[in-house]
Amino acid sequence: MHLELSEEQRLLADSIERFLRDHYAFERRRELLAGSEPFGRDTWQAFADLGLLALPFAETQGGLGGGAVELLLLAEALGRHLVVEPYFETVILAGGLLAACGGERAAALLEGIQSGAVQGAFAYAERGGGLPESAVATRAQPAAGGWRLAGRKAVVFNGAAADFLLVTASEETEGGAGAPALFLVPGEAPGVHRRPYRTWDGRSACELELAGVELPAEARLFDAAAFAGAWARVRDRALLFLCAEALGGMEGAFAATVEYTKGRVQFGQPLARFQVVRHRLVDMYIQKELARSLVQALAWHLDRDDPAAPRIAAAAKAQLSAAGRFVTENAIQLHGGIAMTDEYHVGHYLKRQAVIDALLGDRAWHLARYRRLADGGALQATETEGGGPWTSS
Amino acid sequence: MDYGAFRREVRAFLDEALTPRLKRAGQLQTSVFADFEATMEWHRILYRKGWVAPDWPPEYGGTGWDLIQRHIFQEECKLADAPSLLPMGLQMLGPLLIRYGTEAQKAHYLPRILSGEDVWCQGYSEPGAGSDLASLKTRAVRDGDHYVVDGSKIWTSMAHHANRIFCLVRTANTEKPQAGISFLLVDMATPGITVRPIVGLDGRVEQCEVFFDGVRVPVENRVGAENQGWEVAKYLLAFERGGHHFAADHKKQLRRIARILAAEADPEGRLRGEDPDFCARLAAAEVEALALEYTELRVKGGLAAGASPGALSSLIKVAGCEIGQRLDALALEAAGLWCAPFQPEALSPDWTGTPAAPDHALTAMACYVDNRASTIYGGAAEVQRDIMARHLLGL
Repeated sequence: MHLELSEEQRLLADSIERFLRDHYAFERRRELLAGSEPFGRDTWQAFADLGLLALPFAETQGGLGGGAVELLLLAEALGRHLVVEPYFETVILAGGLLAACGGERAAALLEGIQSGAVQGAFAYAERGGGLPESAVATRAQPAAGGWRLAGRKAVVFNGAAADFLLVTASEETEGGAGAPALFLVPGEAPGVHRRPYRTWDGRSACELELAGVELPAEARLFDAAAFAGAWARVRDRALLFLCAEALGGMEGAFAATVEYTKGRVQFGQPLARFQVVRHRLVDMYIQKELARSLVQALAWHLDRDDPAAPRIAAAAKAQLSAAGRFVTENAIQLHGGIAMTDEYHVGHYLKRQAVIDALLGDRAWHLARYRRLADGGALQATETEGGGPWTSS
Repeated sequence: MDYGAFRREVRAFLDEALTPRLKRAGQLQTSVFADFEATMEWHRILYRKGWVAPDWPPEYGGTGWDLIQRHIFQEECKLADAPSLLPMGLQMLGPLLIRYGTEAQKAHYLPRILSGEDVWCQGYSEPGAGSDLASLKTRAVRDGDHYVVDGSKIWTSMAHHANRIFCLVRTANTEKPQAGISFLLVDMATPGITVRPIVGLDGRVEQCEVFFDGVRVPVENRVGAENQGWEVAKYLLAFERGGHHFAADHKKQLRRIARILAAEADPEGRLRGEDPDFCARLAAAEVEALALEYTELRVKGGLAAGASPGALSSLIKVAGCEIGQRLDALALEAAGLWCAPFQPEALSPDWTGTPAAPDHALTAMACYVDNRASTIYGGAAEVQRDIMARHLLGL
């Protein structure tokens, strides 16, 4: 498995990196977060102009048809630069689900997303469950030829800024929580109440109340069975994105720590001369590179529609969580006090990492999922037929 | 390249060539070394097939396989329970002679390594020179067209079976200790050599001490120039790091664990495989092993495309050994009380007695104990981390 980038992929990575280096200095990020805007509108428009908002969508949906490797490159750069703009929320989650849905309304919204004009959010979490797969107490009841939604959604990332919300709700009439179906809710629909706040990682989110929101019949994008299938198609790409973002964060934290420990003199010599510090840096590097291997493997399998991809995705999310915490915690430790300050960037990697860990299933959940999906498969050769991940490279 | 077809070809050969006794030796292998007789029998079978030295250039008897084919071959051998071959001749000395040996040395020694006629051991460490290898004191003094060697080597694996030893010896006292070392090839039958076997924690002999008392070695047996032995030795160590296939080892370990889990109960009377806490820790180790496997493939894929692995080759050695040790600890835990019976003889493929422990638990403790060595030999994990730190920090 050698991820040799194509010329186009290399250009993409370079142009993203150049843009963020020139326009997304950490100081600017701080100024943005000190204000009241949920994210930088000018940055978002620049993303649109660079074609980044169209990157993962199929050409038939107006997109650029970028694959998993392209997503990896983008997310890694966004993680390295601690970008708070809601790419994951609007493009990957909301955009991914709309793309899986198809149809005219979805096409119109996707056009808006790709041009930068429209923001979306995926409202799935509730007090009782934090995963898109979780059973939900929010109810969708038939009413006047359409639907009536009632319930509360928790920690809806980008919910405050969203022009539309994709909301999970159960159609079941009996009992407590039920299997989620998916509904398209305009942000300004009567009965939609949003209580916005910032999150620890510099993003914005909201608590969402749906107080008898009346929707047309076509607002139901997926019934419960179809939603499970649609989410399964979106999930592994979303996990790749989060893992690659975490990888970028590890890179940023590690590079800063190497530089700092080489320059910082204590007890008459640079910190990086002390063996205990050197070995810790090596352990950070080991964790970072093992994690990178799984992220690359996931992209590789996704781009080949390999049935192993969900298992690799579970492995990657579990491993990235442990590795990302180890690297970002030790980055703070080896810096000392400076990394505990808001004005220095390194501590912010830890906060984003901790939030990523909580998104779309934590380490324990993904380890359990990995066990189910592996079912003894990990004891076999990597690929029993076809020669493994090299056949077509 | 159709790797699937290649994998099937390897599998078909292994199916046919591995006798039950050879497979038994592979199943009972708990360290770097399998049963010696079985190892050499397998060596000769692979030699006749032309597959004994896949890592050597084809003109010297290699197979001409690319890196991925070699990876597949090693993986299939492990999963088929083939005993491991001795690495000292095939993995260490052979490539070193190809790089640094004279034409006469290559012509004489390489075919004998391939055929299994020569069994080599490695005389590097000394009682006073372990991780600090350059401080070695075994002396070689020039006397006409011979060196006279005095001193001792330790942790010399398989010296009690070997007929030859390659040694680092001190030929000059220089300010920088590395600058006074030479590399010699020595016939173990030379007068003045005595071998003292060392009984290991597993009750068996793999390591030896080798004493040199006025041992006369022809000057033509020196590899590289006099006092240039360190450069030669470093090449070998680099090869030792890169020449291992941890993914295959880890899969074999995972399969051993699966067998125990399917048979043994935990303290609550559940099958171990139904204990959620144990399974979570096993899954975590399995995921790490998967990450390491993809790292191996990254490095091999990169090497094939001409990239330099840099710090990644040390990373694979360090992480590969440490993950392996965690897997051994999990197997031991799963085996429960069956870890306790100490029957070294039961680990011989020819033993016909009745073991105290069930078959699936026989190797658990020996694997666990033996594999503690993996973070010590070939450059201790701490030394590997020093090497990586220099690489990463540039200071």
